[in-house]
Amino acid sequence: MPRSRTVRVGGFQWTPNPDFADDHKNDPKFQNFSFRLASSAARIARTHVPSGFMQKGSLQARLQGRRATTKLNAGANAQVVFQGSGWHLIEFGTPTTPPHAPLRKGIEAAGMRYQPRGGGEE
Amino acid sequence: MTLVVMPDTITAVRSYLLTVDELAEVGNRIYYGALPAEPIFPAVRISEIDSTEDVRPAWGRTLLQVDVWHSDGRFRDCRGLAATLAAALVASTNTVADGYVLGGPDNVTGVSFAPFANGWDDTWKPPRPRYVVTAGLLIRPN
Repeated sequence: MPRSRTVRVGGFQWTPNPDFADDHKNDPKFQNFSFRLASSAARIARTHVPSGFMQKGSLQARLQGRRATTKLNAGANAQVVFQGSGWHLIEFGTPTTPPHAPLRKGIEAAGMRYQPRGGGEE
Repeated sequence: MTLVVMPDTITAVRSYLLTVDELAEVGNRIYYGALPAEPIFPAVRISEIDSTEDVRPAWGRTLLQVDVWHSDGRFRDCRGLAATLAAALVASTNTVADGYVLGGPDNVTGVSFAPFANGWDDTWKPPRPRYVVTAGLLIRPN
């Protein structure tokens, strides 16, 4: 739809912008907002990463150093990233350990909704 | 003053799921915490991830993780059981039982789901299929 086309409904008129989503993502205000929201989720997630109960040399202990370094990617697609390949053991638990779910707790506490993309391991 | 004590969500959800006929193959193997050392499959585990009690007076919102393990090599069956379990949670809306009421009065305040996470759980030898259902639901005392 051309951007210049004006739509009239019920006495109101506006000009649709088909690039609204892209314009929105490129808006520095939105990027700042997205970054700050993800920062909050990451900060809360870090507080929920378990520590101090693992035995020395265990799988959890070996993962501790990596999983503590949560980082953020700035921009419209701000991300909370867990370092290391074993974060799912912390997030979802194992048959013998409970799910600590730092990512989901952080996301929920920051006011967002956990929404994985599905289709395979998350 | 009358205190409003919130019910135990895991106990409530477990007792509800035990009444669902479609989950008969699970039997009473709905656990919380750690699975037994040598469990019989299929097995289900319920974990409470997060909870808030300020949604509205006397209503609590709980984020649950429900794990489904199935026999080795039966990934499709595991997925089917997880879907049945999710459907059972959806149907829990407005379940009134002794001590608790599950779900909200309508679909808006009912059960919300995140898409299933799945994969081979290689903590077992041999690895077993596992589905993870994350569900948010409301609960209040009865």
